[in-house]
Amino acid sequence: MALPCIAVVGCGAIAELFHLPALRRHPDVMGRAVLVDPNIARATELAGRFGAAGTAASLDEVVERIDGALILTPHRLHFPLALQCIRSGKHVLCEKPLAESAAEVDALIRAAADAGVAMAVNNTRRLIPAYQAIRDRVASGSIGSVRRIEIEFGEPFDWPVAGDGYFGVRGGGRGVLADLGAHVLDLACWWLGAEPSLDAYHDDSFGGTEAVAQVDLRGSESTLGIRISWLSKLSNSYRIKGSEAVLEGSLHDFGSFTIRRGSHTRRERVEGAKPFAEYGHALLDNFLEVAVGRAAPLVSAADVRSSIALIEACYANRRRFDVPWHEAYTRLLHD
Amino acid sequence: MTEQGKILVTGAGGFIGGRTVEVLHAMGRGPVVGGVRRWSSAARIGRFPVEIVLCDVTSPGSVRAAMAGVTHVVHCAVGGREVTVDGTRNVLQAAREAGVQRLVHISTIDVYGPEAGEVLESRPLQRMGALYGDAKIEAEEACLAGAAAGLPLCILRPTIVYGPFSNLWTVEFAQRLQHRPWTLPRERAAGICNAVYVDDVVQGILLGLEHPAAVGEAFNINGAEWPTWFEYFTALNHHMGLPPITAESAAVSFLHAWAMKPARDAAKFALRRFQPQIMALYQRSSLAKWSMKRAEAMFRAAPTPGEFLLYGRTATYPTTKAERLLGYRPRFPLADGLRLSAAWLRHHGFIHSDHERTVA
Repeated sequence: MALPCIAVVGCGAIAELFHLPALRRHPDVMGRAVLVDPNIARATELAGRFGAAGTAASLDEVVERIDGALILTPHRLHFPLALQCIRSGKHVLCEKPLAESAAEVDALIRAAADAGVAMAVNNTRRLIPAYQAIRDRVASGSIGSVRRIEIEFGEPFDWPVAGDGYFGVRGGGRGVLADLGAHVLDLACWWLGAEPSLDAYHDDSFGGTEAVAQVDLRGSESTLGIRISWLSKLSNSYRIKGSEAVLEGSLHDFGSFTIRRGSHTRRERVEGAKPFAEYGHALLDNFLEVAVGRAAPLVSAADVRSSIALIEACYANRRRFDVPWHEAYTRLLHD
Repeated sequence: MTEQGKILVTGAGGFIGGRTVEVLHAMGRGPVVGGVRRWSSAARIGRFPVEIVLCDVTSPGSVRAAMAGVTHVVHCAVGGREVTVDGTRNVLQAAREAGVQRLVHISTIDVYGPEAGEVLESRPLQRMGALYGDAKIEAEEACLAGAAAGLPLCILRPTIVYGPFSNLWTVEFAQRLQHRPWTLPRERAAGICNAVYVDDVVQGILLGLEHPAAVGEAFNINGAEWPTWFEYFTALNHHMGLPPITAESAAVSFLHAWAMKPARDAAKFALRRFQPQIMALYQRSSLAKWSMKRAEAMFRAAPTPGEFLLYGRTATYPTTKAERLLGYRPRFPLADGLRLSAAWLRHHGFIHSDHERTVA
């Protein structure tokens, strides 16, 4: 059986906590893998710990001798590195968000088609059984036409980021929307089955990375309200109101949701729910097949184009929330 | 300020440090450097275009690196003894080496112990065997030694600091107030709250950084009004738009707190000992999930017996010294501070809309 040679590009927390443990489940593949990071000491430490074959300080050093790459770098590097791999004829699995604009996604799709390689994206939530069942319910028309989708997703930021590239100016001014929003906006578009247009976007950036964001969207017959936060625990729930029924659930419940028709509420259970990390395993396992030409990506670049286009539109139209508790400092200026 | 340089705020991922960074930046008070122990605690200050550096005060090397080019320091980092005491020593040492022109150390009124009456800065500090207060006394002693060695610094002793991002005195009570029945009657919360809005503490910090008379001194930093704890809860409740508090009787409340204690201790023990099993049960069974959430809400709503001591204390901490020497004057009456706090709580999803009614 052909074993792919995989480059793991970017050795931050996501590599350490998710992708390398997932790759270690395939010792033969890990034994051929190369870890790439400008912080070579970090790459070497992780390579030793997880049993990778070698390390490199840049993608340039290894791109010609690999079959595929996992792109796990800070967000703004996803597009250029993915494009470099594709143009070298290599398959790519990229962390979310895939890119910063729809034009970049289109460029990746075109380049992948030209090179005959696959461009997969790590939007793991598309594999969650409850979410898939919801998509099917909406698509089949069982709740009527969608009138309103509300999603809230937020926890105090606790991701053990290994470097300073996540926040502030170094984070490129793209915060929680690019991070959690890449999941939630993708879900919203996927559930709706269409790309809604942007009504309004508000966040709390003062020139750095936003930590709370509110996205208001409009579909053909529906409105959508999405709130995400790095600063507090939100309800972490969704509600899809159709003309005939309402679907509701917790974003942390991967195996069930409720359906409300009039006064009647029923809990729907879906088989196959598992711990979150295992959806990442499934995407990685799929990619190892993709990298040797035996499978198509479970989540492709084309799948996430709508959500990337919306994130781009949000940032282009960003307005700040009304934040009187911040502006109150001006009282210290006057007697 | 004397010569313009960078202002380093340690503990910038925390409540007071975070707000200090925000205000210093907003007021254009020179380049601000937010020092965080971990990158993951930078989400709040990352909203601003300020420099963020790793500054683990327990590591002399980390502090020294963060101090490069710094002329002013606001030392807010707090934690266990290694952070509060050893960390403060490291900050003082690095500040001396860097030739820092002014350092403001954030202490606490806990250094006075359980005093009553008017507690002025001249009151001797009392070690009570409590980790936080005793560690802060040691940190102050280190500061005084630093001052004696020529480091220009001052010490601020804020009272009960509330406002946006205050977990202890704002978020926690906002959550309790939404879990009825409210179990703390007026008679059990008749002590003085000494609430000070966080921006008034920042005012004290700005004065401490700039004012020549601050050097070598310690200052109480309190609000203008001294509400009772019950008045504080009632006012917060009002600004959150919740139905009025109708508390149970003082005797029932006290019994409730004591009755809850063994259950709370048992739950803590069980969670410590069997966390994986409990979490697995929580995920699998909706009945278990409901029961655990209910228990958590009950524990959260009920005050502990120890809290009654705090809510009964009658000490006040006048700011006459800060007013006289620095010109400190609290700018945020309780109603204003709580109105801003409630707006912030609402924005961050801490107030559930089904509990709210319109505030008149």
